[in-house]
Amino acid sequence: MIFNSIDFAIFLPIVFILYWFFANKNLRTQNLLIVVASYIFYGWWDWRFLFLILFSSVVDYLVGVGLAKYEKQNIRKLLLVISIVVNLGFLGFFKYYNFFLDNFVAAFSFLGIGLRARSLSIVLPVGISFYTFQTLSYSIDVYRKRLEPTRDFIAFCSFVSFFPQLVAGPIERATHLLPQFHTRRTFSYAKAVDGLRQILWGLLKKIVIADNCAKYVNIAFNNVEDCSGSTLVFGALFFAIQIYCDFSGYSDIAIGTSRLFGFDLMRNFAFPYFSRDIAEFWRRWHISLSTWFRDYLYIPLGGSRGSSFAKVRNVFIIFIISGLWHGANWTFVIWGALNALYFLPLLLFNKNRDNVDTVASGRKLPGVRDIFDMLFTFGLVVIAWVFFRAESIGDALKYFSGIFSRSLLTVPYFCGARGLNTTMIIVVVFMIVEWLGREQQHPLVGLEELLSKPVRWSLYITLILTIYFFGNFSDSIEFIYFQF
Amino acid sequence: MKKFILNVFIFMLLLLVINGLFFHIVYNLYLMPYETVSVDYNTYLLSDSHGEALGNGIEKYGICNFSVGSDSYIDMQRKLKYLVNKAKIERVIVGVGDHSLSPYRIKANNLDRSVSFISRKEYSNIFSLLGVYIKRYMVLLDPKSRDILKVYFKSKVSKKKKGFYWPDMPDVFKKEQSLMRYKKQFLSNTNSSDALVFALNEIIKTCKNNNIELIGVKFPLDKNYVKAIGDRNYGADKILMENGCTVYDYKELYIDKSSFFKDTDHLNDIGAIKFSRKLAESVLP
Repeated sequence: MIFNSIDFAIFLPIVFILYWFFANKNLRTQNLLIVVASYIFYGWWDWRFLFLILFSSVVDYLVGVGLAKYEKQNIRKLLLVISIVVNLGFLGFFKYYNFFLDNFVAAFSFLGIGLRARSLSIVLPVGISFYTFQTLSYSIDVYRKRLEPTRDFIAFCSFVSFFPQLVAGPIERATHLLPQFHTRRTFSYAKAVDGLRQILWGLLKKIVIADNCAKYVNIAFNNVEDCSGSTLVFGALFFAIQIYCDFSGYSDIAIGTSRLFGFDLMRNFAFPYFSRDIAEFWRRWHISLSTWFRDYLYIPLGGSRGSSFAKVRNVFIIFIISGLWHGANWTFVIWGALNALYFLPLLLFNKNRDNVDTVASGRKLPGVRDIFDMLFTFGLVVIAWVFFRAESIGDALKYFSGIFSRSLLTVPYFCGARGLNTTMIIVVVFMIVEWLGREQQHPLVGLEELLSKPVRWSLYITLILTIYFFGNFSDSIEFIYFQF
Repeated sequence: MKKFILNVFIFMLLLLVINGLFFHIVYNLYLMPYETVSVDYNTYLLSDSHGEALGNGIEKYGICNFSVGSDSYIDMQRKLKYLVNKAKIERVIVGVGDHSLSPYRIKANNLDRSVSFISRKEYSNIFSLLGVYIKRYMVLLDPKSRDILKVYFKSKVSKKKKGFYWPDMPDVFKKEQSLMRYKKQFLSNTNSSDALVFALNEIIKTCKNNNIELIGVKFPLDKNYVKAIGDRNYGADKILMENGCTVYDYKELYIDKSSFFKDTDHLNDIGAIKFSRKLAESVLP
């Protein structure tokens, strides 16, 4: 079930009514309802993979119980290893088996040794990378004694499978989300209204911006040889907008939906394209994943302490693994490595925390320096996105050589796609609105303080009609991050 | 919670009002013209845009033109069933163009509108009936209604572009247009659609069971289009002939009369007047 579907539009109110009107007397019943609803939500794609989530939940729950019971360090370590092996084992098998096998065979054949190995036709379970990391955070935090293990299996299952963020995050830390399943939720009008606003904003980002940009992105990336250099530049720019609106739109809907049920999820995006350097970009892009890697990998490796060599090594490890997390393809490795290269000079010259505040905070317009820095950072990010979007490294290089051709200065033309001007106007208006709301969680926060009720409602209806009239409904376009 | 539910309820009502306004536009523009048919005739013409191009002029000969652009045999079958129940129907003329069984018709048709000719009893379950009603009345959930409204609102703010006059167009343009049309209607390496063949056979069966004379007609085409098609034919005419029906092939009737066409395969007003008479003379006793 995807958020931008009629199925979900029917599913959500039903669960909401059951949750607040029939299950509100008892915390366990509410949690049980969340588990059932989450399993229905997930099983809508493929019910067979429910066993995977259930198995993962059982293993990590028992590991948690074991960690509470045993004080001996070697037993605790063994339990943690079991959790890591089971979770990463599933992830490795479903996501990386064929990738590593193919590369292993290719490496041996390069050395003149012929190996026979058969690739498996494996279907990647939706959201496996997300819930695997979430459950791992539980085991690691319990092992580190930062979190009391839960004895409530239903609460733990709801934490693992919580449907708003199950398939594409935000990847919640157990220390943040699990205690919310142990606390009685009370309905908050302000929270629920804000949740609905965030859902509306997320839907607009996904259906109007991302899915319209997708048309041009697909034309550019699938027909590199037939497109002019300028078309390819626009294709790359549109992809930058598409992936941001697609993923942050999903996060907005996830966070908004959680608020309807009385939960607070962590923020996942903080207007990353208004970043003035790449370090700031990574503090604002997919925050739940970057902080996960920071807390569970980068810092244990030594972080930014130690020799220059250790710093460089850690940065490369973290970015390359982050790239691989997105998918089993060398393009993601290059994407990660490129970001590491962007980031390293800032780290080595101690400039990585120069821009921790919001750009032009308290002002309406940015300074010239800010504009230059933002454009430069955006340019670097777009270059990396070409690798991220391309099917192979060869395709990415072909894309760049297509850009730097004589046709770079021609008028861009996307053959077979209509509405380019409308899409560009919508994107520009959207970026202006994002700019104005950059100091908040999302641009529609706190409207009741600024606008009267009739004006607010007119605005909501305008947004709904914008989705209706300008949204791309022609294909059922899934969220990009579902494939990860 | 009460305040929240009340506000959501009022907001939903507001959206319903907007939906009602939009439905009114969609209904008058799109649904009503499709669904309105006189049941006082005994001869009906069921076809797609080729039949629709004849307009109402053919009705003076006693033939009711129930054709609508993009109608597939599935739509026609639904209409026929409706007519069998409502009218004293004796004769049905169906278009059997070379493209009529093309799989492209499976994508471009009027199934969303012709559902109104299906009686409630024919639905297998309540959910499929409900789905049809939601799609029809909840225009805010229907992308096709959205496209209709877009065209409507655009027409209100911008002037209609002047179309071209086909007979005056240079030959190169006509050939190009014909080729484009051909490529759209005749998909490469495809056989006829099974669903459309089934529907056509159902039409034949319904006519036989109700003693209705079924006649096939191939509408006139511009010479450039005849050339573009060559001998490609998905074979609707053959199916009718195999079932003992008469088929009139007027494909090349106006092969040298470019002035009778508004585009490569549709008659203009003059062509429609001429052909309506010809058709009436051929099919009526």
